[in-house]
Amino acid sequence: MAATATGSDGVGGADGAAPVLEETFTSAVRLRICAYLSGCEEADFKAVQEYCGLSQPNLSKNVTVLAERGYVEVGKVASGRYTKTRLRLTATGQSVLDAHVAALQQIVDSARAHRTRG
Amino acid sequence: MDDDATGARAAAQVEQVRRARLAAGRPTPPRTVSAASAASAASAASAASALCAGGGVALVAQGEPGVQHLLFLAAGPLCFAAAHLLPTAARRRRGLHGYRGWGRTENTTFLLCAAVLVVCGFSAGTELAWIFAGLGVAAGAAWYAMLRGALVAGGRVRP
Repeated sequence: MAATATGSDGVGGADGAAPVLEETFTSAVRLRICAYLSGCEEADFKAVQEYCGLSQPNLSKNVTVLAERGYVEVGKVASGRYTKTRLRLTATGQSVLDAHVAALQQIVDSARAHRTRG
Repeated sequence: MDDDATGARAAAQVEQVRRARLAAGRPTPPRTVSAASAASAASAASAASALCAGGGVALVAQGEPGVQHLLFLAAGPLCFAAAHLLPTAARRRRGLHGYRGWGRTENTTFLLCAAVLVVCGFSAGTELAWIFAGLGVAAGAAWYAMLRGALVAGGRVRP
């Protein structure tokens, strides 16, 4: 799935082109979920919930949004008598996250350069 | 003014991403550990892993030529394995499986360096033992810094 990018509300990049931010990650929670998943192959639902400090329904809602866009895969694994839910960042999610972070970094650099000049 | 605010907001988000990636990559204490001692527990797990990594480097060139040297040489890879497995086991207990991105690159680099050091240690004489001991201290410090997320180029988020 292609990233649905929106125009940035940030300052322009060094070459004049405005950095493009991913709309999905304008939610800090979704950005944090994907960033956390980008450090591992898979993570238990509980681990993500604990790190993000979210309630189960809240995390489920955000994961559903990410899964619908093809950024996160949700799987089930057997663990004794129970099943565990595992989350995984897809290749698309990874590349969109990297592009989003690169755009953010561009905004930071641009603002820093602007401040130095001014 | 508006540019400054936007820049600050973007910087905060970049920092948030960096912290999240490090949290998923570095050894984390078990859930039973209280929040107050969580940082020191994570630091202790990293220190134990770094001690194993540094010890492994120092050990591969120790001992008199012969069986003694081979025993030290065999202990080296065991230390390297422990250095890798300690943080991996801590992550698994926490519900994090496998490495991705820079975590995986760091592990691959670690494995290659360990292999090279074992080969070098095999042919090293006793005169090089002190040099390997010094390398062990440096390797342990570097491994600790890497696990704690201190080795990040220019403070930027690692891709």
